[in-house]
Amino acid sequence: MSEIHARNAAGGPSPCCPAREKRITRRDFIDMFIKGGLLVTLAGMVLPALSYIWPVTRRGPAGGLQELARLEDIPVWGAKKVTLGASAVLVFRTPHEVKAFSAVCTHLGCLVDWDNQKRLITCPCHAGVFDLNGRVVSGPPPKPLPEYTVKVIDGKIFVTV
Amino acid sequence: MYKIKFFFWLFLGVGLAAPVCAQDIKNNNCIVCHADQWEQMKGSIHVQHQITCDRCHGGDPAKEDMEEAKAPGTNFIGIPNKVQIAEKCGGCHADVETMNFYGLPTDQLARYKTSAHGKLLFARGDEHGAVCSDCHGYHDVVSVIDPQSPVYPVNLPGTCNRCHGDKAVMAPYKHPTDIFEKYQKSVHGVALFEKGDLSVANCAKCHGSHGAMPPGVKEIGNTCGKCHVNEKKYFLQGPHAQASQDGYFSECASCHDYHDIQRPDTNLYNTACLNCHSEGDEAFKRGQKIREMIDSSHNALAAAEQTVKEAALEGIFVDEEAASLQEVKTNVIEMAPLQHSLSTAQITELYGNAVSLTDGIKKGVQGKRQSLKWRKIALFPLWIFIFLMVVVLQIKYKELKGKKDERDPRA
Repeated sequence: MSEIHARNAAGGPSPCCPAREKRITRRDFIDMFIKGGLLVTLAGMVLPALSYIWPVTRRGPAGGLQELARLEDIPVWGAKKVTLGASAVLVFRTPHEVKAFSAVCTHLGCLVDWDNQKRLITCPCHAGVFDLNGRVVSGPPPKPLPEYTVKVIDGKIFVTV
Repeated sequence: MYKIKFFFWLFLGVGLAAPVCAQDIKNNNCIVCHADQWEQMKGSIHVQHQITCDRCHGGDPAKEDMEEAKAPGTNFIGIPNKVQIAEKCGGCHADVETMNFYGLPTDQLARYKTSAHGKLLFARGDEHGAVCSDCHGYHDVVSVIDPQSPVYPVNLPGTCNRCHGDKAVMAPYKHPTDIFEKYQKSVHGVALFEKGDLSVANCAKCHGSHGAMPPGVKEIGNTCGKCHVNEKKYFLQGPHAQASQDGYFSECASCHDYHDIQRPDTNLYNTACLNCHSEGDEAFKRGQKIREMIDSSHNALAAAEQTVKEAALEGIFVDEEAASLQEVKTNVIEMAPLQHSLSTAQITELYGNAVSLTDGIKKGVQGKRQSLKWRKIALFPLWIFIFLMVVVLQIKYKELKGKKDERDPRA
């Protein structure tokens, strides 16, 4: 009797009860549950850390820079309107540089367009016109368009936000 | 004695106020007698630039004796009549060499002679015709950019109204005298007087200042089009342009009126159109279709704005939807000038964009709300897991404690 108890206590097979050898005891279940729970908890701690590390390698330079477009996407004297956060940015390319301005007109908040022929920024709503530096040329806008600092890195256009 | 009086005025009244013109004032004996006029004049733009009495009234201010100062040969004219005022002012203000250094235009006198006021004065000899001093003042003339100037934008309508609101003055010309009251209540008047918008249309912006003339039926569009550029552009593309050319239709005033222009809304399609069209005709139906699209776009924009605002308050990130909202807003605002073309095709395009974008915004927010809902539901299994972990850890703790107690019953 004491031998059987000793074997059971050690977790070994019982010679008199072979059918009960695979039975999961309450203690085994609790142990497994604790191990599984700890594993899940550990995974819950590791995953956010991985997701923090992962985007830096995938999305390029950090430090308040937002990628707008690839340089090759915009021809010289061409432009592109890009959504940035809750707003829009108008980015255009001259032979010497790439410039980016808020695409929101300072008059009533319409989205401005790039006029390729006149090489000016125009507002379709009330004919506001801005020059290459975002300054008001004519029309009702009361202020210039806010400008973004542009950086071109490895053929990609970034703005500082 | 005169010299003592002169120095008294110079140091007490004049010296501190206008030091730049000390030399001219030193020789100006006019102010000894005309001290009250000097009081009005000493802060004026003219005194600041050493333009004093004799430039307008003639005479020799250097003479201490009054008779000598006004003697023949001194070009003394006393109080100038209106024609003399225009010519005296024009003597300097139409002179390119004199005005060059002040950067002032020199065509005022030429323009004045083409104006209704100038024609009245010069052609008809009617002294009711307003002249320079009627609008700018005389002894106390200040720069037009000085808020105290009678022609400063906020003061200008009142200045014009001094004559144009006077029934006795206007009676011979059969002019209405309620223009100022109408203007005050108009969208332009409210913007000027209540919002302080100095760029808004005032009397001179539409009629001209020195060359003031009432715009004719055909010129109204050009006058309004100076500010309302897109409205003018699209109007010229529409069917009313020809009617306006033929003189059947006053470009802007036929629908918007003139001095009492109110902020327009789509109700104009129900009222102004009926001045020329009848309810059943095709043109009226086209107007109604445009009205419906504009109203519907405004409603869709307002609903989308509300949706995005509510979602933001619920803590949902709505950056994409807010960006789309700006596109919708652009389409809706663009419709206002575009409607002057009366082109259903162009309006339909903007309307289609607006509806499609607002639908996208609604779906986007719905999707995010759904996602938030599922994330909240997913909290339940998480809470159950935490609860079970607490239970089994408690059981394990008791089990281990029991073993310890078995091994060491004294503990």
